[in-house]
Amino acid sequence: MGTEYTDIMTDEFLDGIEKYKDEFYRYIYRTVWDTGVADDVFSEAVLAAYKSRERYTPGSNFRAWMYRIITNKCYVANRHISRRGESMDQDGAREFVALDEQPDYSNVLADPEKFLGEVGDEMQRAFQKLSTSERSALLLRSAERLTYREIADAMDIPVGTVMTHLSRGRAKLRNELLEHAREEGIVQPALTLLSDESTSERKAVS
Amino acid sequence: MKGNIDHLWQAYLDGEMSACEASEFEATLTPDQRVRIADELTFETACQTRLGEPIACPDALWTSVKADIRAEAAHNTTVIPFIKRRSVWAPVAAAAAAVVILLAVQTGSSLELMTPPDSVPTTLATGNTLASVNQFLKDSAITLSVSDPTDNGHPIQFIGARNTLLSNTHVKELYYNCCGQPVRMVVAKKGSAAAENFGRIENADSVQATRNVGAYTVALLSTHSAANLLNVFAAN
Repeated sequence: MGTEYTDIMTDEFLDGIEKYKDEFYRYIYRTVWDTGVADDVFSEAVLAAYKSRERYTPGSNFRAWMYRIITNKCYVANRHISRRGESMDQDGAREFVALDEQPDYSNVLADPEKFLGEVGDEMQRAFQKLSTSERSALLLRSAERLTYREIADAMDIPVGTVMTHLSRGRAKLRNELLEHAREEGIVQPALTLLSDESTSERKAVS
Repeated sequence: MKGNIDHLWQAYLDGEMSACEASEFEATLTPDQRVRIADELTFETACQTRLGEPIACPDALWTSVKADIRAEAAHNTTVIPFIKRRSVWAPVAAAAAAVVILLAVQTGSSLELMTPPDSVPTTLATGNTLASVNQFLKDSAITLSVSDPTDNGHPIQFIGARNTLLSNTHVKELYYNCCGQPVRMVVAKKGSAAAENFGRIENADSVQATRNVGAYTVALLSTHSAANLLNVFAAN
């Protein structure tokens, strides 16, 4: 009886993981940015989740529960490889960056697909310069389409802090991409960074 | 303009507002702000596409992880006989464990049972018409009927219904397509273990809304905001 029960639970658990394994792996890979480390984190996270599966409440959000375990493992991995000596809430107190304090993107917003195509691999490099919190929040939102609430649960932080990480992550990413684009001549050198011009002023100039 | 762009802009861009909140927010925007926010949406969509490009979990890794989990499961099951030989409490513990396991199995709780549907089951007991679902409910001795859902700007289509078990209780599942997203409704007898299960997890993300209708409790599950769809039971 006991063996049978364990097998059923194991199958259910593996079915649950299999459903999301690609998106979990993608999130891990883009957070630790190393195939070998990503493989280790994936294995460790799944095994840790399996061992603590009694803590999962049937009917609650399995995906968000897994992201919480995975995000913790990613933090540990990033600390171990000394990429970033940070804790999950270390940069939580930083300020929200409002949209009009973010880099002026008016020269590239006309054709963002083309711009992102032109900056190519720089997107990855720019992403690696974000803190783990910013990268996690941005990935969970933009790639995995989690809601603010789900991201807050996964990262164990308040929703307001999620918004701060998102705004700061986006601002940094844009700065990095624009810097690169200016150096490569993809956009006009006259383009201002962290502009506080109003939209109407920009439109009038252009 | 500075100072006006804040958390609200970000929440709007990230789709965190309800349709009503978004309309109210849009009404506050100046023409210039509308241009800016449309540009930002275009850029964010392009970023999402880049970041969302698929990266598959390597097959070898998944096979290895599954093997590790199976080994862990096997290891756990072999511990019990060892304890049994060593402790006088083991028979009591084993009996208690058996009762717990039996109860758990009979409860029938499943990892994904009350999660929103990612897709619709391939085997349904009805066709995709209103008449067929009402006939299905009648044949199942359910004293409820459903009406055509109101399309409040949300295109809705009935897909089908089926019988299933939840918390060892027979329940009916109704599947809809709302704005291209699957929506599941579960009909359980009021006071049944399944209906109590709805209440217990109502605040979790999986159950969007519940409603008592006559002798039944109905729950709506979807990742898409569709709580008003429970109005199909309004005539009961």
